[in-house]
Formats: sequence, structure tokens, C-alpha cells
Amino acid sequence: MSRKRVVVTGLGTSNPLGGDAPSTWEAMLAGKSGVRHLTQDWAEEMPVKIAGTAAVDPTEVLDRVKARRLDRTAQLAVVAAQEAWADTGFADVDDIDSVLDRDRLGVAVASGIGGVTTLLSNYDALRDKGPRRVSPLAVPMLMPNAPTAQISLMYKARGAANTPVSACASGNEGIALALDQIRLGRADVVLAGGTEAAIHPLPIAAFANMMALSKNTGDPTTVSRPWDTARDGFVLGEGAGILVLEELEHAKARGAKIYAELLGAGITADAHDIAQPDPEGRGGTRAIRRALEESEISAADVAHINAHATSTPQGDIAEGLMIHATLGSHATDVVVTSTKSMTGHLLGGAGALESIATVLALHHRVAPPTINLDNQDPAVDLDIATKPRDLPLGQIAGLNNSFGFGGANVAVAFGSWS
Amino acid sequence: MASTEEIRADLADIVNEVTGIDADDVQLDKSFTDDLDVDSLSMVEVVVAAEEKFDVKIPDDEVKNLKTVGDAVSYIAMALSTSRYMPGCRPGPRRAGSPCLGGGGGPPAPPATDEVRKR
Repeated sequence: MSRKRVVVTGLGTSNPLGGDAPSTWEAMLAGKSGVRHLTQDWAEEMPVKIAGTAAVDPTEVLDRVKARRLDRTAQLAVVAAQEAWADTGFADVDDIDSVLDRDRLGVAVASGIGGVTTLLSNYDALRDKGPRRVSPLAVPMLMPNAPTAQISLMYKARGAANTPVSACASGNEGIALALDQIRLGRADVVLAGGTEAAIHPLPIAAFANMMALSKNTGDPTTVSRPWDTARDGFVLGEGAGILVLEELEHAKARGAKIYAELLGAGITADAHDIAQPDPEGRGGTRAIRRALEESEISAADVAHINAHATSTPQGDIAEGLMIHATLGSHATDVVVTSTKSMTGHLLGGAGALESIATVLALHHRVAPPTINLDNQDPAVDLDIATKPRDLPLGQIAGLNNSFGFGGANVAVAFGSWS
Repeated sequence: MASTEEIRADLADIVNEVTGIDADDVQLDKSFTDDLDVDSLSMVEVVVAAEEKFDVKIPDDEVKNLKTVGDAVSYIAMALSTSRYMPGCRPGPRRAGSPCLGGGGGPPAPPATDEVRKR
């Protein structure tokens, strides 16, 4: 029996560039930045005063009562899921149960940190006003699987409701888990992706103290500068991305619009250090290699890579080594980009948003640019798009890499669809 | 002393804030669970917000007896007879000169009528 094929039939996002996928894509092609000054009072004493805040506040989009029962992590995921669901066309079907078995509808939405702002605001209430003022909703709001559970409730998805947690690789791991669910025959459709909302003084101080964040105090839009010689750390971002993944025959049977095919994934661990990447990128190399093998494609098929490249001195170089190790002589033929130059680093949301960017790049045959690349680091021998770059016609593949603290590496491969 | 209607109206605002239910639907004969669809966690939120608003204590053991809006209003009125609530007072620390013992943001002191003196 041939293995099941999985396609992308819906996209949704809310992130620093836009409140939906079309506006995000438009902003990416225009090379816009979603990094801004933080205006909250607490930002005054922070070592870093900028972040990629969501372009559209989710509380402006969601019903008031619904929003107050959700941590911001879930708010952003729900907004993204609503767009992705509408994009699939399921909602337009008169008798949806005739085309969708909810027992075989899954959710796999990741988060790196979970509902950290709910946790901390309830701790503030406990400390300042006593235990009676801790919200009875605190646990269902802050638990890491809250976004997944809320989406499962919204669409009566009764298949597996997964929440992978692998720091900044989480979003890609959600997509990889969803692929498994469909390939193993356990689900027909999975809402997959990731979300994060950790723009709060505690995570900012913590990331800054571990020397991960840029301390650049110049124009915020120029601070995230992957592969540039002046890069000095990442910019924290927030947001969510959801992709609706569907078994190919299921999608064909209902005449669904197909953006791209999800070909394969590779998941590995560095087993090197809790925070530092393997300087030779061996774990990431194995993840990319496995993704190519599982996808049954060769290096020559890869036309585009949406890199993890967060704008850290060490990580950006290591990823260049991984791309060379896996693609060999084709490494410099591939159009590489880091959309984090525009969005900042969405942590658990990063892999999902960047998978959406990869899918749209294959769909529209154009790679979005890497902004702020004024002087490419000579240690990085890659063809990096600094303007939107046309991708070749014909059957092509795109890779999206994500690497996380703890040594987590997840690469996913998408194929163009025509 | 706050009237039943004043307590009901303040409670209705709380229920609206927590659940989105129209405040006009929060009438004395309505059951929280059967008529207003207030789930158990939302009920805890309503109770805690009511404690703050009215400056009373509603022990967890009492909450299960508060089946209807009228039950809650009666309980709050009873608790208030030993308390310091005034309609219109907002929660927060007491401000000097404010009649709102449980809330500093309330309106200026009303004339010292007999009703106020009784409290």
C-alpha cells in the first residue's frame, strides 16, 4: 500500500506583520518590519525595550467574554485557527458532517512557554490580594495545551489533540506530529502549528540575561539582522500560525483548494548543551537530512529554505554549515531567507509562521526577503534573498528549519502543488 | 442600606462581565445554571467579584445554595446587614473622606440621612 500524501488546505496567522495570512504575505514581500518600541511602563527598566508585538491585538478581533477566558497565547492561536478554518472551505459546506468525520479531525498546536502571562498575573494577584483572588480559570488558561484544547472545542475535533513542547522548534514539531497522525491513518485533517505570547518583563529579562536578545538600541526595525556582521541576538516576537493539513484523497474528494504538499519532516536532538547550539550543527544536519529522506527528494529538488536564522552570532553560522552538509554542491543554488528579520522570533510560533511563509513562497513562486542584511557574514556562504526572489517553475521543494533550546531540531519539507 | 434592586443590578453587571449574558436577563427568579448557563468556574468568578464589589464574604459552602439570582441577592443583603457596602462604591483601598469603606473610588458622601446613620 502506498503511503498517504498530506496537503495544505488552509492557512491562518496573527503575528507582528499582520492579523491574517494575506496581509502578512504582502508585508513580507514589501520587506516590512513588525519590530516596535515597547510602550508599557515596565519597559523603562528593561535591558531590552523592543519586540515584535502582534500587529492586530487579538482582543480586538475576539468576542470580549471569549477573550477574557483565554491567555494571549490561546487568543492568537484561536484567531489564526479561525482564519485557517475559513480558508479550508469546510464552513461553506451545507452538511459538513458528510465531508468531515470529527473523530478523525485532530489538533497539534505547540507552544514554547505556555500561558506565562496568565501565570504571572495570577501570581501577582496571589501576592497582592491573597489566594481568593487567584482566578478559577488560571490553570485552564495557562496550561500549555490550552490553545490546542480551545481549537479542539471550537471545531469539535475529537481526534488526537497534541501539544508538542520543544522551545523554538515547537511550531515545526506540531506540523511534524500532524503529518504522522495523517500518515499513520489516525486522522484525515489536522489543524497544526504553534503560538506564543511571552512579551512580559520576566521572559524578556530572562532571555536578555542569557545573552540571547539583541541589545541594539538603534531603530527597532533594523535590529533583527540574520547573517549580517552586525547581528547580536534575536528580537522577541509574538504570534501564531495554523496550517490545515489534510490527507490528499480527502482533500480531492471535497474539491479543496491545495496550497502545497507536506512531504516530510525530520526531528532530532543535539544532546550537546541545554542552551548552546552544537557549533557544527550536527543535530540540525541530521534533522534536515531525515526530512529530505522522508520526503523522498534530493538536494537538487530544494529551491528555497526558510531558515531558522534568529540573528544570533553562533546559530546563524551553524545553520549555514547544516545547509552545506545536507545539500552539498547544491547549497548555494538554493534561495535562502530568514523572515525573522521582519517578524522577530516567535519562539513556539516561529516554525508555524515560517512554514506558512514557505508554503506561500512555493504557491506564489517567490521567496520573501531577508531585511537588514547590509554586510553578509563571510562565514556564511549562502545565496540569501535581500529582495523578493522568483523561484523556478516546475516541481520544487522548500524547507523550513527550526531549532530550539534543549537541542531540539525540526526540519519540515513542502513541495509545490500544481 | 442597599435595596434588593441595587444589589441585583450590581450583580447583573458582574454576571455580564464574566459571562457576557445580558444584564437585563439577570433577574431574581433566574437559575444561574439552568436559565443563565453559568458554569461552575464562571460561578466562582462571579462570587469572587461579588465579594470584592459588595465587601462581603461568601464562603464556598454557601455557593452551592445560591441556585437563583434571588438566592444570591438575599445572601448578599443579609451579609451586608453586618457590612459597609454602599451602591456605587468601587473596589479598592478606602480613600480619606469617602463613605465607601470597601472602595475608595465611590461618589462623594451623601447627606447624613437617617438611613445612612443606621448603618
